[in-house]
Amino acid sequence: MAAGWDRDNKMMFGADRKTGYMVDTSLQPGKTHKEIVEIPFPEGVKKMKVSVRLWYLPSNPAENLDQQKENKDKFLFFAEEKEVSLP
Amino acid sequence: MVKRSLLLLSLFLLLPFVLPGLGYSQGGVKKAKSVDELIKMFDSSSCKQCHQKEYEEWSKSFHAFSLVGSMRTLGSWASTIKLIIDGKTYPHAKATKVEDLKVEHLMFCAKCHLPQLKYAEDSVAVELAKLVISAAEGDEKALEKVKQVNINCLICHQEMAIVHKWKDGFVDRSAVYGKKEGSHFDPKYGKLKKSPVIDRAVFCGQCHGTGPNFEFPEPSQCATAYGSYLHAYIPSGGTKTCQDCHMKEDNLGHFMVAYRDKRMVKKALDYSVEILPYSFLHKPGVYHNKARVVVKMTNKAGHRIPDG
Repeated sequence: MAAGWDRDNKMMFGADRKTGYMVDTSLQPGKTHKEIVEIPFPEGVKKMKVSVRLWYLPSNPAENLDQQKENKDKFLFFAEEKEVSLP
Repeated sequence: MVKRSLLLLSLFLLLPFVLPGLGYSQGGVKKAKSVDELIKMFDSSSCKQCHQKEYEEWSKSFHAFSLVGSMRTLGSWASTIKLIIDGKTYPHAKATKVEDLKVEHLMFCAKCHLPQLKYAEDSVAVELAKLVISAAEGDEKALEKVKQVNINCLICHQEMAIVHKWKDGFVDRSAVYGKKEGSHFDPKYGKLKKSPVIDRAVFCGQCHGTGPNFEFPEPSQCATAYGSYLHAYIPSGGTKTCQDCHMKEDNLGHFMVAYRDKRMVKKALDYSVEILPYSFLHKPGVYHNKARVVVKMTNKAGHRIPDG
């Protein structure tokens, strides 16, 4: 997400009177973006089901993702579930 | 005879000063005095008779309710209007109540969401602002009215059809613009003219823009897709136009959908997940068991994601 307002250090979205960027974490054309997440196995657990979902949030913060309505506030781009087990 | 010619010449020279006083804008379009009049001036409902498929596709697009969008746009409009008149955010805007609003106060949003607003008198800005605020507060009747001022056939196929006006001339109000020249079966718009840009990215770039709109007293930056297209997609070797992905491919036509459609998501992103379970020796005899999840996303779109 690109956000910023160049008069001060307040992060703003596009429609909120933005005239510059401070950060741009969007996916750039032709580029590959990699995210690495390390998930600890719970104590004594050797097998785990990992669910990865890529949500597109047009404007809402990710903190309250569960409360957001699908196809209105949040859009599911990809979903994948894999079972992994320790040797 | 000479006297009469001089009189005519004087009247002709005075015309640019007289027309605005008669309610005409510089583009020669009579200025609307009400929202209803503005809707009527840019009414494209007759297009449906012959272009039913395109009309129905368009009616599902965000262009068909460009002040409302997913309701988020409507909320942004309402909050921006309230900020303009709060007397604090913009102390030099010379507006402290809705009735003070002029067209120029709304144009930094309307440039793209409602470009025809420039052909309206200031009273329309006041009426529209009241409607937008009421609609955002849940007034269904106001919402229906707000939905009627939109980016319709006439906005793209006439108002915005000429980018390079010194080269190609100014818009002919008796014509609709497309990819060819000819006659057009319509009592009001009897000519079909060629727009040199209607199938090019620059056409969409007029609104899905390059960055802050510095031409306004209070500039803002909303959509920046064309900037990303020019400065990131093209340098990375991109060759497609906006119309290729959002209209031609998958026969999307005038629906011009983006993130709401799974086909667009599939085209825009490559996505992969790899998961590696492993044990990490934390201290002698103590292992921490982890799963390393690697998610890769490649943007195949012609602009950054997200953008608009």
